[in-house]
Amino acid sequence: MTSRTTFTWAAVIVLLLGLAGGGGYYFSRNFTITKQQKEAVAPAQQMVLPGQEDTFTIQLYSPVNGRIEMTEKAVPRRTRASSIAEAVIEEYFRLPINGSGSVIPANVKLLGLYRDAQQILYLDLSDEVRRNFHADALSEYLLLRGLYETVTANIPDISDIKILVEGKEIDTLGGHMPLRYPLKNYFSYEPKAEKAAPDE
Amino acid sequence: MKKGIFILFVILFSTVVSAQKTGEVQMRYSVRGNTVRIVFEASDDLIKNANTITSLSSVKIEFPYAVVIRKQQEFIFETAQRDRFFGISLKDVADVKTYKLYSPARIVIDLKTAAGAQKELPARPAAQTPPGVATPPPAEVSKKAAPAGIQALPQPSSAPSASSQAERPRKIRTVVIDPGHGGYEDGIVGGDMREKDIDLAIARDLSTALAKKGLIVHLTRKADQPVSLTERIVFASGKKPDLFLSLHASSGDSFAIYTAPEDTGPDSTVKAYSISGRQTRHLARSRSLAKALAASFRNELKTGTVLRQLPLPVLYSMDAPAVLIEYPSPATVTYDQKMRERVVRALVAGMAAYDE
Repeated sequence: MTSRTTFTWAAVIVLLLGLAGGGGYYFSRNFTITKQQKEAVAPAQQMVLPGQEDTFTIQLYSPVNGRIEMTEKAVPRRTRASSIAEAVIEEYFRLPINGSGSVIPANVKLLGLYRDAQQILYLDLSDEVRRNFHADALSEYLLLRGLYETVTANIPDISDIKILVEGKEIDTLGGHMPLRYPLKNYFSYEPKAEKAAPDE
Repeated sequence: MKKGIFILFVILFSTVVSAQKTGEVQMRYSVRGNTVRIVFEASDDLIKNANTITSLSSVKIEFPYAVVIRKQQEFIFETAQRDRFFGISLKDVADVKTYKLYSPARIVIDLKTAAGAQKELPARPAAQTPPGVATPPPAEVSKKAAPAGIQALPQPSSAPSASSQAERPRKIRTVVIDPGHGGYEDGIVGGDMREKDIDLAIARDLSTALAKKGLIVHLTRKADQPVSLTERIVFASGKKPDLFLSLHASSGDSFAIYTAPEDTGPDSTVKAYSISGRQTRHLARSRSLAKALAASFRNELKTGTVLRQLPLPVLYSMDAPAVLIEYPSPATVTYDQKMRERVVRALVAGMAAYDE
């Protein structure tokens, strides 16, 4: 092998290594699977023993007695992301209504679920969400926040959530909080409350 | 051979460099009448994969990778940029519309300013007034004689009375009262009482009481009609009030008074994306008003009040001290004429205490 041939082979190897490195870097930047995605995929790969019910656990953030409470619930396993999202939203609106101080409106149905190119999840709910909601500003805030927290905790890679009613954009759910825009911006604050001091 | 290897190295180098993408975005704006149009022009993939989130107080654009924004030097709104995020803080905006267009690829944002939107408010036919509710007063109520027993509030310069002028300098001249709900939106229902009717009845009574003190009073709705949150904000902002009161019912058995939350966040990008609005500079006075009203409810009605902070759009968009008042639920209290008078008396006394 002449020195020229050796040099050529060395150059080609360096070139291939460089291409592999550059490509790897590019794909790792743009197509990385996030930790959340891995976690979402992982349960589906778990083995189910005979006689054991095939379930997975979802987190529900419910508005109860003026605050958000997190509970976990096992639901039948779904593998498709859209089926998981449907299960999560249906379970949220199935949370106990009477006797627990909850303000979740009754008989709400999920009519559709869409995700746009900007990863905003559109929840199309039945009109019961508006007709059966009769509560104050704090309750409305907590209802929407609970829904937002529940969806984002269980469905990965959602940039924001927007609510539609009967397929249409509406101004407000109960007359206090706006629904014309996606929800995330309204939940950057923690609500504060205090009793008015007796001497004030 | 050596030349070929050199070319291959150049290709290799450009591959690695191209992996670290940075895009360039041309930003320009124009003002026509009451509409401000902002255009972001960039490559197809940058525009196609950009994520835009809008509210009345901010616009946030998340590009797929880091960008350099080339903009006109004197842009009318505050902006903030970090890596692939770009934010615009909006002021006095009543409506925001966003479009993605191609050939050339661009994001177009149309902002309608408050003054322009107000002119375009659709005239709604007033629904039939529900039984048991008095005829609404005119939006601007002329001054009348002050009744005995209620502390006088200052009077507006446009309609002064000699006696009140001599009393003390005025702070409150114009008040906007916002009766909640209306139309198809009943609010809280207790027995045969609906929140929307009680809100309106108290608002009318309060309007009459304040007008008797010489104040200029505006109502965001004067009948049982639907009014959107944006329409309420635009209407109220157009009146340039010294005080904004929104009336609602609570789900509980005590009063609750809401003010807007404080604008927090040291990071300028976070701040640009937050929903802080025009209320920020009035927050201290809004809190004072809330406390004065709470004290008055305790004195006049012997009931407790919860003070809360929530990002409610009718509060954080208001360029004046603003509170949202919730009276005890109609399911626990009957709001007959007598009860409404007590509530109105407490409200007037609370406003007078705040104004001192």
